[in-house]
Amino acid sequence: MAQLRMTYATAMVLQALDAGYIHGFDIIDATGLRSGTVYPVLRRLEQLGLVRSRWEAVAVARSSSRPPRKYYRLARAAESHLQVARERYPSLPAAQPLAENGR
Amino acid sequence: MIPGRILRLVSLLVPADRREEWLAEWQAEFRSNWGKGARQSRLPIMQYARCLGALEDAFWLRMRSRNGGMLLHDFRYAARTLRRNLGFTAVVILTLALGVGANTAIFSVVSGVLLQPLPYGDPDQLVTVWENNRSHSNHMGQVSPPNFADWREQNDGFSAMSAGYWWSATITGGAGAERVLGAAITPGTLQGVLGVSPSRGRSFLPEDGTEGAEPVVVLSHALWQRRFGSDPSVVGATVEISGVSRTVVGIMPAGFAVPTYPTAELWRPVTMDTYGDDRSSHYLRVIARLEASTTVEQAQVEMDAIMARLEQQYPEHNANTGANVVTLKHYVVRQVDRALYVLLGAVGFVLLIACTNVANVMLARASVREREFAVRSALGAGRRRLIRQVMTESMLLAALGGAAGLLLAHWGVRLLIAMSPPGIPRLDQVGIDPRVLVFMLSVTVVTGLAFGIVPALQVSRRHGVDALREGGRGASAGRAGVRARKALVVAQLAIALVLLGGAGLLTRSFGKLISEQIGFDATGVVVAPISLAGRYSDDADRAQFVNDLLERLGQRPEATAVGAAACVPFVPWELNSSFTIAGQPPPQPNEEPDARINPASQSYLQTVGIPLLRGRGFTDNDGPGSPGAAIINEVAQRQYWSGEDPLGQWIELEGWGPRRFEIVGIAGDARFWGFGSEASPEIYIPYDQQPFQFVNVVARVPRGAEQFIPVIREVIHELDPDIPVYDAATMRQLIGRSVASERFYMVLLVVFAIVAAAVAAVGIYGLLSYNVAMRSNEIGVRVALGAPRGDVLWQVVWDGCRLAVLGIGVGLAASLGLGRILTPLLHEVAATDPLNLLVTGLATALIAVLGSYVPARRATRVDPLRVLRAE
Repeated sequence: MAQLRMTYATAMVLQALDAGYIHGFDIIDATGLRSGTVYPVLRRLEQLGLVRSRWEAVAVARSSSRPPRKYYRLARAAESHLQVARERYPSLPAAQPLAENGR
Repeated sequence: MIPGRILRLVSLLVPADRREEWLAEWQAEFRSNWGKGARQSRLPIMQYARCLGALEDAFWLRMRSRNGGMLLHDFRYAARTLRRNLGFTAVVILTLALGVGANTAIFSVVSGVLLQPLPYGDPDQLVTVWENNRSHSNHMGQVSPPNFADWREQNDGFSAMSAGYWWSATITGGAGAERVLGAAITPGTLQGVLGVSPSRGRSFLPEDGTEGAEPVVVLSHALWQRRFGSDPSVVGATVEISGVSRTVVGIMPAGFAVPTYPTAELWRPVTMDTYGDDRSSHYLRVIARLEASTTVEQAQVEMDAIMARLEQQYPEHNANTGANVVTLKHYVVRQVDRALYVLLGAVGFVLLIACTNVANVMLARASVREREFAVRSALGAGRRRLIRQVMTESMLLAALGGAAGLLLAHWGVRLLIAMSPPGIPRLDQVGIDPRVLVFMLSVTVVTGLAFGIVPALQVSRRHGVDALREGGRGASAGRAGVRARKALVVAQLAIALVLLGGAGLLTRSFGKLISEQIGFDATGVVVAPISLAGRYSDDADRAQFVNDLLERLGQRPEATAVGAAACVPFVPWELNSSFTIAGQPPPQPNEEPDARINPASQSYLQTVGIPLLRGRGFTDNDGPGSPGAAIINEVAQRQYWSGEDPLGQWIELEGWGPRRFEIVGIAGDARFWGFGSEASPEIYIPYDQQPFQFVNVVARVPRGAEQFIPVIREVIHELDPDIPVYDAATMRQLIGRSVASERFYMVLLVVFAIVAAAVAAVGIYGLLSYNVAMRSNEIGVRVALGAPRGDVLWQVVWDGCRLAVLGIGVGLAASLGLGRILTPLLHEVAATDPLNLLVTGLATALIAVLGSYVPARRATRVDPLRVLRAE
């Protein structure tokens, strides 16, 4: 398992990603964390290979008339970390699954 | 959108190889979130908070890059230290934000108004040319049409020369009647001289202004939007303006204005060739474009020569008259620049005082942390390493303060624009622009260095062992530091005193200004200007309309008196004419008596409350067929009938009503142009004998004057829906507008002075509380040995007072030196006014005493037992 300190913020971000929030600002909204916290966590997760980032297709972005956004997905290796996160912070308020969020 | 700019700036922190991607990601998030935020009514402050997040993210990336490690360590350490001392951090950031924010806001205004080039083609070649009337010392007098025509013909130094005059237009048809301010201009003004092309259609052609040409008009963008709903088909259509059908040939770009007529919203062409030989009417404002090879000085020399010839040729009109070439830039910003520079200076002082305060707090902390640094130094930290640590802290504080300041500035600029007086040119174009951003960033960086470097140097000068030995108290070793901090407090008090002094001067000057006697009773007077131009071409019809209107308004129970006059005080518009006095020898050329000629109804003087001192008022017998009657004011009597009784004498007014008027009464003086300008000669004539096309309806409504404005509108609409009423206001409002700019500068300077005083009080408080904390042992021992608490209290306050005396001395000296800058802005107050200096000196002393009292109280509460036990 790669070196990862399972902080509260990291656990929140992992769960938000698992719940289907894939853009930086959406994760911020879903977790209630500050943007200055969420981004470094994402960067660290990416460095450790637990998260992969992609750019969304230009066509998709253009259809809703905005620039293409970067999105993040959990890598397979993150499964075990997600498990740890759920165990360590069981009362996590975060991350309603997307469907229940009314979007 | 500001976040875009902030992001680009922040992205410079990101390592180069990742910069572009980083920027794209953050921009995309902001862009797709901004619209959403609006829907969810999220505050813009959230977006700014996210900019801070972007800064953190960028730092994070920079720290993890190859050479970021050490920096990262310093940065984290600094961040942790700052977070641990939240109170200290908050005070510093708030102080800085106030200083930087106020600076950026004012600088944005200064930059927008003074530094940006004028929005015309090659603006440096543009000048205004005026008649310089030496006998009336009027250096920027308006120009008579024949003089203008001669100038245009005879000059070589200008590539184009244009002139114009105000045009009060009434647009009728469609959406009802509307009075619009316009200007009549020579056809070459827009493109040939100002170098601006219309955004739609064409501008004027040379033949547009000639007699018999089809009447045309060019609209401003704002009028096009407001009146015609931005309908492109207006170009080419005809519009009924002041009784003439005019074809709209073009629309000017948004924000365009002819600088000599900045509030005009539409323009019609005139040529000056058809204006004959009347050199006695001066009503043109001239703008000209210099040849590329001509300087302003050369143009002035040429104009002097031309005017000297015209003076000889037409001595009766041009005697003692020269020409004055003024750059357009200077003309546009005229009076405003000094006031704005004073504000910029004042706000600079606020920043300075904020910086000294932060430096002070940093110094205090540095001595408290002596032990920490000593330990680190003993463990092998080098001098540079320690300096870098302190510098990182300062820079971080400066950055945070700068960010908060930017937010404040953003609001500040809006606030400034919202509360600013009319007449500051180009204010609508003011915003936080890139230049301002650069200025603010450099201010922040310089601030960070300025208050960071002193503690850093001090820390590094200490010998580790000494500091360790002193056991963290640093009481005596910090003597140099304490001296530096005392100097800072003295400087703060001095600066605060200078600002308080300036604010005091402006406040007193303002008080004197508005307490001046205006010569009439403004309470409850309502003024409604109306224009009969283009609607009633016949004198009798105009008189009839006004009399009907006054009769109907007079029937309203709210109004105790109603009247009408062409010229009303504080409505900045007048009719002016020269006249001759029957029986007096003919005057020297160009030195005929002149006065404001005011066609007024019988009840006008009584309505506004100007007293009739002698003789009679106008009566029904002073009608159109009767001999002319006139009432003069006291200034006119003093100036033109010294030692004689004017009653019963006759004056001749060429071109006015019955031409000859008998003086039947003498009225009191009223200030016409506003406070601070003396009353000028005025001649009232019966409105019925000269029914002028612009007239102000006035009414005295003792209770609820403002509610009477819609009543006037309603009554006029009933009489004739095609007569527009615009800008109706109470006399109190008009008076308020006339002093709006003085009030604006006064309020701002007072705010700055209060901020400065508060910061200075915090400064002296901080220094003394620190001293008390450091000396609590000594104080405890003294109390234990029987020193009365009053003595302890007095000693701390005395420490503060010694500083205050020094600060007040320095401040008074500086005030005497700097006050002179304010002189042109002051009204009947000397910049070195002793009372003002005394009051500000006392106020500063009071601040010092207040700032010292709290720490002094704390000193008396030192528990001697605890101190002794600790020893």
